Amino acid sequence: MAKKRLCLTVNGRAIEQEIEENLRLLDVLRDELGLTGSKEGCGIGECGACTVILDGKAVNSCLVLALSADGGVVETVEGLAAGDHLDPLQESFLDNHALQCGFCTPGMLMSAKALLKENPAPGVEEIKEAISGNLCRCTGYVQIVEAVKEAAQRLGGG
Amino acid sequence: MSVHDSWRVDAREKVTGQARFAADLHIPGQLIGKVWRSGQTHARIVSLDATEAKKIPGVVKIMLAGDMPAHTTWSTYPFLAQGRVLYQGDAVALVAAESEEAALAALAQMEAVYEALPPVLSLDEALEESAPILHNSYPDNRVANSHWPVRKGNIREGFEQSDLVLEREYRTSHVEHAYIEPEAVVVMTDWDGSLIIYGSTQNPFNTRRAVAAATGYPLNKVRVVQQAVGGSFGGKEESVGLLAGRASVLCLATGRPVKMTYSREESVIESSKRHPFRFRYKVGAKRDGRLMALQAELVDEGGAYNFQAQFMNWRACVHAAGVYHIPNVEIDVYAVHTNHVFGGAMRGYSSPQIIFAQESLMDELAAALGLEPLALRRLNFLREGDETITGQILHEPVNAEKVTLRALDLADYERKKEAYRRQDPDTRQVGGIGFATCFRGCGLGAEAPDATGAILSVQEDGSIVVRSSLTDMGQGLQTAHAQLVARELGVSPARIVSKPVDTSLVPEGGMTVASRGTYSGGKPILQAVARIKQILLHVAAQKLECSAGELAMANDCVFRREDPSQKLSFAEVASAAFWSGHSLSVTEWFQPGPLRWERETGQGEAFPSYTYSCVVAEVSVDRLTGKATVTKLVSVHDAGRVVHAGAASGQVYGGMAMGVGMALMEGLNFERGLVTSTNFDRYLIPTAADIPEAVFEFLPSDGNSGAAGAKSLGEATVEAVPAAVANALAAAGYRLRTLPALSESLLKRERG
Amino acid sequence: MQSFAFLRPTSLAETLALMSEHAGHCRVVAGGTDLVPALREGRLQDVSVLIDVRRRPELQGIKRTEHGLWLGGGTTFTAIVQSAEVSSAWSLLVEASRQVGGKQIRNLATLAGNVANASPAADSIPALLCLEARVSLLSTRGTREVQLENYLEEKTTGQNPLNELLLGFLLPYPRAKTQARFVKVARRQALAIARLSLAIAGHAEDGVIDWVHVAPGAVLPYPQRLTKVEQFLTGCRLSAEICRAAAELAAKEILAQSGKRPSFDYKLPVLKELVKEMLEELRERV
Repeated sequence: MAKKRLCLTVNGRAIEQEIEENLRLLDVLRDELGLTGSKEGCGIGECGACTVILDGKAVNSCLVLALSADGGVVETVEGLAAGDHLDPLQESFLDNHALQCGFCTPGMLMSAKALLKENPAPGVEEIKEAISGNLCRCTGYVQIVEAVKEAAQRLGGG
Repeated sequence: MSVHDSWRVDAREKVTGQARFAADLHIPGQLIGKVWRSGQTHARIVSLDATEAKKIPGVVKIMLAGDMPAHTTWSTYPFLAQGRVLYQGDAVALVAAESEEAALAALAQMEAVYEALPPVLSLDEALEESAPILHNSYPDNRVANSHWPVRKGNIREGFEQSDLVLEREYRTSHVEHAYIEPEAVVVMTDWDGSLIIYGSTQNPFNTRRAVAAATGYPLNKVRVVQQAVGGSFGGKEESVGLLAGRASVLCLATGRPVKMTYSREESVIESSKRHPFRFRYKVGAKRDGRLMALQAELVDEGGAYNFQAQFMNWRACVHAAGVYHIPNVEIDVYAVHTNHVFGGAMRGYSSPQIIFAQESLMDELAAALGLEPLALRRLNFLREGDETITGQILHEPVNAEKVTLRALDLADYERKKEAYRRQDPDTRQVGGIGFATCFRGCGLGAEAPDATGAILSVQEDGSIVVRSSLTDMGQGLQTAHAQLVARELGVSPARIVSKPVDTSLVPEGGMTVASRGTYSGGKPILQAVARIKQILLHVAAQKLECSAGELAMANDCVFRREDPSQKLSFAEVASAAFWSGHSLSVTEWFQPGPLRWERETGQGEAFPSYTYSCVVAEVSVDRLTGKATVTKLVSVHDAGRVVHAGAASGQVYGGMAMGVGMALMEGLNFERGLVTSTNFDRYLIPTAADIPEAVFEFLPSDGNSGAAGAKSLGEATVEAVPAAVANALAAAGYRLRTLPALSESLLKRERG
Repeated sequence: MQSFAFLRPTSLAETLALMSEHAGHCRVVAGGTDLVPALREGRLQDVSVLIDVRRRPELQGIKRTEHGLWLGGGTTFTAIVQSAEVSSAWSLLVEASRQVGGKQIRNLATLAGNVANASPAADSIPALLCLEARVSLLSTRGTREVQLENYLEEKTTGQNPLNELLLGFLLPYPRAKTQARFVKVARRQALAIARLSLAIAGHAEDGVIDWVHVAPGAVLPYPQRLTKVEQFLTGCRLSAEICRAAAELAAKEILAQSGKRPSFDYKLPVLKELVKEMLEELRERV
């Protein structure tokens, strides 16, 4: 397999990398760029732990072949905070105890982030719909939904 | 403390993506390890050939059973099977390669010849006289030491005295833990040749034991460093021991670090499951509802190998009759081997299965007697001073009735029950409300010494390090412990760092199981705090020229109660103590008093304390499709005093979701012994769209043996949920005696 | 993950050329939600070349044309759900699209991908069939338009000439007063494969069926309309008896195609009830 050049903007930074053709976006993020925040939980797009925002939409990065995203804009959990300054979603997750083991959390945050960008004042059902592709085994989702609702309020939405 | 009591030790790293899980580690020079599994239900290994596999570029080492220094872990689990494979997850070869790709390519080139042997595919089959023998030492296929009996009173007389005798059978399925993080370890050697294992493990000391067994290393040359664990619920025990043992062997054989991670499919195929149970209950009661006799046979499916049934079945026998007073009891619990994936610990440790069966039985008995479910319960609930079926007198507050009445009240049970009874039978959706009450022995009880340790270290600048012998796998143990320290020392929790387990740094304090993390794990913490406090107050007293008894600690200060302006900052006192030669690093060990237990009769003090819980469930069933939905759950738990409200709430909601999953959608599917639901597309757990409206309350109580009055909670939050759902379904017209309650089962029930 | 060459053509012509060049061992990939898991599991050993069309502009777009609504093959399910155009007169497709996977899947998965993969349980196909969708295919020989049912039949029976790119779909303007509904039966509320689904579109005037399309999902080797049921119902006055007969006929037609499956113990009785219920709705909605 030849290597091909991949250009991406990841969390605001321009990346250029020679990669093997069969790498998924998740592999590039974790192994090539050291951004291990996005996780692999199942490999088939059924758990959402790998969720990132690609060109403005939440996607399972385990299903996106990296070269397919060439030229695109990727946002991962590592890009949410600005230095020490946490994103209101992150703050809200902390304040509402919306995480336990933390493994699904990056994916949850990105699904939530994508939602709030599209819909700044989501109702509970809309929040549930937005995160229903993100499995969590620890929290039972209630505090996560509360956290997203509160973040929306803080951001001036809900 | 409000529910939004938000502070949590490890949360910031988890929301920024910086928290390190084992698969996030990358050691320069590392090899990728992979396991080759038999894929056979039951077979003799005729031959294995790695010749072609070895030729794959990038492959560094391939090992077969004969190449391993040892063959089993601390039980019967083989690191690599030899001679015979007993389930599809049995491993037969290991590969270490430069990349995952090369390792997988090598596996694809491995060749094996198996001779299929007749399999045992259910616990019923295992019990048959003619069943194939799976372990030569156990020709009846019974798991060694897994039989736990309870004998109380006179069972024959009990039934003779009964006006009504009811017999029922219930069953549950293999449930998968489904932690979102699959198992992962990275193994390397330290400069002195000792092994370091960075792993996603619930019990680092068990992992250490497994690695020592696999490699032949002494325990002091194996160090396991727990990473952030992405959920475990009892599942990351045997599997991680196997994984770490295999990776360690590869590491030593290649001289390079080895990273081994499981795919989801591997995790589902190999790792332990919740034991399926078959319950045969025979209950006798007086016409007025008084329970006279209970005879029960509880058989659990241990699977190909089993380490847990020997311990779990003890807990099972203690709780098999529920939270009721029954004068005559004959209970037998035992496990059998089959050629399925092995059973292991899973949140509850037999309780969700048992409570489902036994609380269903109670509702069925009530119906047979013409009594309301609540009335039957109230007549028979254990109360303070009563004797349990194991002959233990309950001296602490017994709040079975209290939590039940409160939960039913919160759930508006009586009104809703009537409303559901009057609902139009012809509508598409039909609803029901039901409940289940249970109790749970806290900690390990008489199962094993509930001893554990901790190290508390105050630094000279007043910052604090807490190291428990027990692990945080997300449940918030590190936070709860830090909270205890913060409270007792009167300091801000921000001052405290609570570290994951490193086996070279903390004493082995038993497994993090049985919801003992705060209940027991908090005790050495509090003991350590008490000692530190004594030293600090002594030092402060000297500086403030008063007696230690006049001082208090709050707001990061030590001050005179009578004149708070006379104070020192916590940091100042710590510094003064350090520089005057005091040690502010304390290791403490908690050892409970011995608990008496008589094996033949199952009599003794099973647990020092019990948590009491009641869950009320409302369901709605689509009569056309048979699809059941849990619309609301109301839980009341008496877990003593809650240490961290946010974490405790999380346990309740998480337990509810897990319980809903077990009730309605979770159960491994097999085809001729092979799992067909190996990933999350077929093994379904609840999504955010599947959770019910949730209401809960903690009923505070005192006088228990828990650290800071905290009783066990983590498992109590899941264990009554499936039972409550089952009783609600029955109220809606669908009495199901097997879980999960799938749509097809409901429809069969309706038509049948 | 299997090894493969990943090619991204910069025009439709180049796409076709590559498909031709690598005929027999290539796949066209858009969202990848079906393909990537299959490649991960090594299930496509004959595939060594992927041709990426995910962002090809010619495959995007939802627009009204004189013949109906055009949806580019690369239209994602999210785009369909958010499209005022599709909702305006083809809401059956929106109903189905809304239930595909979860949000992340809908953001990636495309209509063409769903159709080309032709899983028996595909959510979009029963709806598209009821909407009389036509498929537009492009090859080096030009464009070909074919009724969706024919496309599926060709695909399944291996008649489909190779090297055709699925350009998009044309949904004819619905007849006046069309009623339509899509129901999906699954084991949980989200991220679930259909165990059974049913799309029905039609119109009844004064209780008499003018026309009706019935397409079940997850019960046939590939999604099809139940033409015998449709023929039976056309011109009938809807009554409980007729609905019941139609339901029996539906089960019969399915059994004839699929043979007896173990899952049918559950699925067929449920399907019959769903058919009855949805036909009753047609009657009531007048």
